[in-house]
Amino acid sequence: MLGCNSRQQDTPERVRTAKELFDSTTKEFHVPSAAANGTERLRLQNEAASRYADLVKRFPEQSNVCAQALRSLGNIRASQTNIDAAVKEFAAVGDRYPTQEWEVLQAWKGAADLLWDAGRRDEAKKFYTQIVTRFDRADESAIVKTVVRGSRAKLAE
Amino acid sequence: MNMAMKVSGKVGESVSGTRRSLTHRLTHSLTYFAALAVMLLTTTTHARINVVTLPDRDTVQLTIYNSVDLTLVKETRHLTFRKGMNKLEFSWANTLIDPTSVEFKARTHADAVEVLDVSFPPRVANTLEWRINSEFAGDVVVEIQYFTSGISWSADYVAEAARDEKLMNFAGAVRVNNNSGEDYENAQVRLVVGVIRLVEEIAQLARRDEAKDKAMTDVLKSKSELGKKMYTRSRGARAGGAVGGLGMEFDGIEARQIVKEGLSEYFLYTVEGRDTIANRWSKRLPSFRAEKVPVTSYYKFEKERWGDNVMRYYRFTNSTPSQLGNEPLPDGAVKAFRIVSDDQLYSFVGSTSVKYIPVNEFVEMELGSDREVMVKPTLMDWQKTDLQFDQQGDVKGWTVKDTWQFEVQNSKDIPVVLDIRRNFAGDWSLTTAAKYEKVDARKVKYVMPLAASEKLTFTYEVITRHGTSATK
Repeated sequence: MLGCNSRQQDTPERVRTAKELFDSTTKEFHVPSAAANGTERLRLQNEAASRYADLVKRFPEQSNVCAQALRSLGNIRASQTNIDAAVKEFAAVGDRYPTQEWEVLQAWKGAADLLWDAGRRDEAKKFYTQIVTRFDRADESAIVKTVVRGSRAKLAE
Repeated sequence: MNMAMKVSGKVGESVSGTRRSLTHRLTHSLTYFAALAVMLLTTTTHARINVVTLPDRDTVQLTIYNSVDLTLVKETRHLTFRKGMNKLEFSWANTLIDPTSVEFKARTHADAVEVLDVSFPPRVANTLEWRINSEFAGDVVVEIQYFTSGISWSADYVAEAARDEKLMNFAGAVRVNNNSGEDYENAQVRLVVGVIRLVEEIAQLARRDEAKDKAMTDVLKSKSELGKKMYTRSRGARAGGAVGGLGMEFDGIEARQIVKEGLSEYFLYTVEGRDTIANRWSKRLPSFRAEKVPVTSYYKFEKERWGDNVMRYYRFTNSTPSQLGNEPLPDGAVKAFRIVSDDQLYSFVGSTSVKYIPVNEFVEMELGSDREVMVKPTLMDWQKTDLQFDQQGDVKGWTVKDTWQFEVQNSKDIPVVLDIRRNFAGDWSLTTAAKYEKVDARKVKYVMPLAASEKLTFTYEVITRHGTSATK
């Protein structure tokens, strides 16, 4: 798990640079990896993962970008069927950047579904429970409510 | 983009194949589109996979709120559902779509279609997947709504004055700029004029057109609530004939109507018809055209503001008697032309910008200087009199008398109105045979109609009392 913190200064230059790095990584490596096969897919995924990790190290104070980078790392590990590593990255989003609610929601749901599909239901239910506990609010958006409803259904199984 | 595909075979193999196809399409779409795809659920290992259809959008509606860089997108598609579980993907990669605002709704067979869950598949970036249970097999009209940034609009106007500059044709257009990362084909465009201060007010506006459309209201409410909670996200990663017969063209489109609705301080314009608003393109759409709008060609001279230049203005009122006044006019650039010959040759008069013009508002468009109207002030005499001294012999009061002569010439072939303004300081009094009006304590104006090619001269004498000579 990579560390993020808020010790660095949040200057406009750092905000822009971090954002650009994240965008380029997503656009040039992560998204194309979904269409690639074999070694090319692996190369693109590894390059994307390396750049996301680098971003998190260099710009730990950039909460939104860091949260997205960690979740993207989780997605890459999940695509590589490395479930434990993926769950670790997904969990880090909520641990390190709890204010990034949309990212936290996606990360927890990602971890939960991944574990559920792997048959690790008890572990999955911990994440579904976290989702329901935190996001079951009357004023949430339609999409969040749907995620909560789906999580409840899983918990009831 | 061809959105239809057929797959058959065993689910275990076919889903894999389907996913490859889907992945391929998504990769293409991720670059250019927010993609929608229907996949089949792998409910039974050996079930046959039915026809999967992913048609183009049937309708797209864009409601653009310039003041908050927010556009509500509402699109409908016909999707073929199979009975049981269906999956629908939506990707916002490389677009400025706000994924927290995305909402799905079945517009037909709504009672039979239920969204059970949303997941975020890790194999593709910035994609969500709805799991939808359908009790109905067949064609369903679905509606997807979301907010996006990156779409803006601006207004511009063209004034075509008749040769005598007493009437003009006045046409407005809007230019929609799309930098959202997404193409919108055959979109209906709605524009909100006015400043939106609260996101909640957007909901009020949106409800205006579709009071019964709860889905839109909900998504807007959702957006507002999310805004309250300060959800943050990274946007980039997801990511008629003119006077004299000159016609106007707008991207080759004949002028169409824009339906306008008043909403207290806001105004909702709906551009008639549909247009494709491609990403990284801007499109100019005709808004309105008014003919025979009464206009006054008005000239101003004020040395302190414009030096020796005489400034030209077109004046009109945004009112019904002026063939306008159906709606407020948004801020925008104006280009003005005038017919200058019997064969309807037009000349460029000038350009300017106008601020938001409410209904019944008087408008004065400054169109730059015009050398065909000349004002030449000359100081003919200057006297200092009435000197008063203190005990040390220093001057403590005095009076200055200036005599000015103004030569005024209209070289145009039409009559004009000229407004000359003079500023004075201190305790002053004016003597002149010319008719003038006092604007304020320090300014007077001479407003004089000038016939075509007329030249005239007038003088005034101003006495200014200084120091102890001043009486006020």
